[in-house]
Amino acid sequence: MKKKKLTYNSLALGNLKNRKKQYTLLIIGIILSMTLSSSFTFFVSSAVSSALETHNFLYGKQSHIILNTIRNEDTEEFLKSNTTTRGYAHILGKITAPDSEPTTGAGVAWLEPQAKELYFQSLIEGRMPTAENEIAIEKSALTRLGIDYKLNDKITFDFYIQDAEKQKEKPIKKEFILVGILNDKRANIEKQSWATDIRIPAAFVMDNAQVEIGGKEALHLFISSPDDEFISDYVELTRPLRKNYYGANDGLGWYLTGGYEIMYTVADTFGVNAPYLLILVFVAVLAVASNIGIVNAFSTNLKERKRQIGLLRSVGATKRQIIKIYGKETFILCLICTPVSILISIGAVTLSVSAFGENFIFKPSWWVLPLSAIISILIVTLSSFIPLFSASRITPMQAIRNISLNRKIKTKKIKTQKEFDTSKLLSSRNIKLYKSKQVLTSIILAIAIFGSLFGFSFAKGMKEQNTSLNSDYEVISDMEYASKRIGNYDWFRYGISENDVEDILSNSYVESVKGRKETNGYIEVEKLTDYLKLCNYATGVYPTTVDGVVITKENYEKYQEIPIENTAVIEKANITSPILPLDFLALSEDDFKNEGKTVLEGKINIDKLNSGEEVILVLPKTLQLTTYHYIFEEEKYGFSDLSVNDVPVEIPDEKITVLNSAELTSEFKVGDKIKLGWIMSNDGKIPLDYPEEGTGTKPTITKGTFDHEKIEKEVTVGAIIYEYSGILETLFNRYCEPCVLTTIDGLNTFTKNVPYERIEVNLNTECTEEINKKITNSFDRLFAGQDTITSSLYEIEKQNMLSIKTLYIIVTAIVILLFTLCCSMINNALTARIRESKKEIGTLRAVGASTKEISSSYIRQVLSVLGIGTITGVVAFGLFFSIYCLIALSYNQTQDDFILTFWETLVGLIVLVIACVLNVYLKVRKEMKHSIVENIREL
Amino acid sequence: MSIIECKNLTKEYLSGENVVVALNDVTVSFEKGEFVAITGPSGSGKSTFLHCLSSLENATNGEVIYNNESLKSYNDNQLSILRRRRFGFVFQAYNLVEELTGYENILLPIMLDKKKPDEEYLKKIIDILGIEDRLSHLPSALSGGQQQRIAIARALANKPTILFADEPTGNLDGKSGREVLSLLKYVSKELGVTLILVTHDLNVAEQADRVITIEDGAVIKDSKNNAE
Repeated sequence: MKKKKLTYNSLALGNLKNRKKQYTLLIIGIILSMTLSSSFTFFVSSAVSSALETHNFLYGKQSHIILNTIRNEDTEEFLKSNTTTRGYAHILGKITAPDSEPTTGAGVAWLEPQAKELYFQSLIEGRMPTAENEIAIEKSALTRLGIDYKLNDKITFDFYIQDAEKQKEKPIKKEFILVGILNDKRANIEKQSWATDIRIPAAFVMDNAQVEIGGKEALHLFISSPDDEFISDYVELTRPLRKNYYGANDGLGWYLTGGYEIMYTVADTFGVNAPYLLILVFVAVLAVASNIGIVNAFSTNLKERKRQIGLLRSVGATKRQIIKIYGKETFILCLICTPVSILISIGAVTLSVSAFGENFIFKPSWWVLPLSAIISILIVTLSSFIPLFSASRITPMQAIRNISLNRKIKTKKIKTQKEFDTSKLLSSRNIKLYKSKQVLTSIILAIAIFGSLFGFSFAKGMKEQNTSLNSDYEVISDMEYASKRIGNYDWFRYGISENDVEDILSNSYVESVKGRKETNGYIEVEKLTDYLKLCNYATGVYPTTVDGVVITKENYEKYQEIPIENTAVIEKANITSPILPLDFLALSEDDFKNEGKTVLEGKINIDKLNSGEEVILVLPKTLQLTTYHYIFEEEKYGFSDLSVNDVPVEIPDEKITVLNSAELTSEFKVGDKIKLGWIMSNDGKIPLDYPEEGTGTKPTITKGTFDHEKIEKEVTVGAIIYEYSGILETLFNRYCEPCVLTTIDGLNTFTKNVPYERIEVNLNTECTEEINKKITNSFDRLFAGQDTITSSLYEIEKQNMLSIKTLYIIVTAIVILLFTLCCSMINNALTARIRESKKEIGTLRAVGASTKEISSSYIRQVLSVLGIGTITGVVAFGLFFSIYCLIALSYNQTQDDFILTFWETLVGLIVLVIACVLNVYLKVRKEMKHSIVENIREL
Repeated sequence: MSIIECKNLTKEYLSGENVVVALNDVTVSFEKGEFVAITGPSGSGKSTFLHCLSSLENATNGEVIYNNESLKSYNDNQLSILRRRRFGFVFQAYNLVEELTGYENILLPIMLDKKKPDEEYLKKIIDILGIEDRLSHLPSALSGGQQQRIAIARALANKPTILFADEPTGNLDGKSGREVLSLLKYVSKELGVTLILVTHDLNVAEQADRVITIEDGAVIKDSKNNAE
């Protein structure tokens, strides 16, 4: 017979072979825990990669774009020592659809190689231009240009040639061949909506293309910068080069591309999408949970391993030899568990990320795989060697005899019971003596309960939050309304017109359209009283604060500085009476129905508002002006501050000398007849003559006439609102600034030329994919060439439903995994406990205990572990939630991120309890099937 | 009058494919208050006989009659009640419940029966066994002799009619063994309990009223001791 050689390998393998059942349980436990840990490491890593990819796709890799920058030796030197990557975009002009508004359109440029790398462009179809007159345009820019595009079409654009920081006023006609359509860059869209001359390019021509004759290219600098301080330094550095330009910062600006922090800190990556943040919390929790799982898997045969180690040591094995035997065993366990769990994780994560849609990819960083394996191996090794370390601290005989209970006696005071319920006493004594094993399970359950309550409440919060659009569609026009002006100029001609609304209403699916208008206007007054002056002060039309000078009520006139545009309009429109400039606001009738606790005098009469007979005035009831000196760091400052409606002036905490305090009450009364005025510049311009750029001189009032429309009308003050509330509060984000309020019909009796700033469209039927497509297409056609943003409730809900569904899937999967781990731990612990207690079960049976009493003792143990875990989890979540609410309260915000929901957790808990109780009952029953003698003899 | 008897008791085990006959058609009866020693060489079947007689194990054939009632018809629950009320067990390995203190181990059968403990009676047993100062300790803190005394007290706690003892001195040194045996004898006489004791020690067997010798699963000798 061939003799087998006794080696460390054969000893280790023998261990595994001889205790197949126990080691199978151990391996399953380790794999479960490792899978949990590595799955979420992969998931987070993929989430980070996906977020970065998405960010790069949407914004590019640059952190900032410095607009209209200057390139010279000094700036190059500065950039070289401060940035890693930088590149310029050469801006050659702007294209618009023929004869459309010049404020729309796309910037035309070519990018230097480094800028190309940073801007991360991607083609949807076609190619990048390589020849003159070829062009590639971003998709949304094409829509904005109103072009029904096809590749290789020859398109004639109005081309505004770049002239340093602006474009030439008159366009030329220029023909391009559309060779490529690019994916949108959000930087372009966001910057576009500012409707200024400074554009981030969205149309690209061939490299090294030259600006048209007579023009001067502008440069945008794409950089990957570490911080904003760098930008400030750069702005400072270039300031002297721009001193000859008119204005403060001379057009030099910078644009932060969608939260650049994403490039530098992983944590901020999760800010991109709220569910990722939730996952981050879970990952931390799960890392702890899975490690506890592995330690627990080993602890199930801890006693036996200690005894084994004791035996080996008693027959002369050295510690080194024992470490070798267990080292081999651990190595074999790792060899089995690590690849299996990593493979399962990759499969599980690949499947689960597909639920996120195309924006989420399975792309863990390269280091995740070895890191995940190393962490798992370390935990397994540590867990495996725990009995070895504890056995090495005691003598071999103590290890064999298992002195754990003896030790516990010294640390725990056991009080002898004179009368007891056997199953109750046994379970409580077991819990007391084997607390450490139970604690781990309770911790996991507490984590599961906390995670479940957190996850599902958060998901429900998200679900409720994301359905807040009040209508089926909302169209917002970026009409660049500017307050604090008397007239209305070119930017004001865009927006949603009454004709647009008529068009929308003619759509057979549309039930109603309501909207909101806002325009600049004024009230003619007999005399500018102190109250009105203060009202003007609030609107910023009259005196402003001058550093170091105290503006008192008395010295208004002295420091009165009316913006030059307003002075020009007053003069050119021949306004002779004193006026109070204010905004005219027109709302839909529905908006007035929800006035809430608005404080007002008089009555809102919708009919009279509609007929134009009455208007509502919004004015502060009282105004308080306080002027003061304060000393700050030995410097003396003079300031004035204004507050309204009895809200005290907030005076800084420094050494203060109050110089003047005036309190004035509103002079308007309900029933007053007031004269309203409204001025619209017909050529879209302010009556000013601007000097040549770079001369440093200010504009002057034009010598010619001012082509304008002026409407004046006498109306009655129907009501005066002192404080907003209800819907009005949500509509106005300003603090009760003076304004004239009426209905849309009311404003239309005055002038129909004011466009809607936003409209809400409701359908007469349930929206479907097909209807949504028709409606959005019609909006695209209607608003082509305008800066409008359309939100579709149907699309938002569809997107939300997908996100919510994904979130629910993730939360449910995590909670199920945690509950399963918990169940597995209880099962492991009790299987080991029952196995170790066979003799005890036999003894109890011998002295007359029935099946019911014995199983009840174990079931009580299970219930108490579950109970402690549940209570801990609920209390922990309660504490977290209370703290969260308190924090929200301290910031005066309502807590709506979480909507408490318990039933999912309750269902999970009930299933867990049933599974654990049933499992224990069946295990005890199985033991009871053996004869008492077999039970007793087992050990 | 016999308190317990067995008729044609047979116990067979499966060892691989072979059938091992541990007890072969044993018929014996025991009188009330009697001290019977069951003896025989190792593997003769004496412990199996005790286990089958005391309902710790089911016999393959034959029946056990307690108080003129066959235990064959008893279900598991009824057997549990019988064990806790009428029988007491003392094992070689003491078999105390590790998580319970000495006193709680003694109370175990009474508590399982949901009865009030007879404190005077318990005090008497505890005094006889000399374990008063060890009652609040867990078994792991007690010596073998002390554990066996607790086990005897537990076996007697519910005033059983029969005390079964399986090699009760087997794990003890000579002195402790002698002490435990004399205590068993004394207590069973004092309380009028039938003591059925398995031993391979002839010195122990000599002290019994009656000695049953088993060999190869069969009673080969049943004799009365006239030593006392």
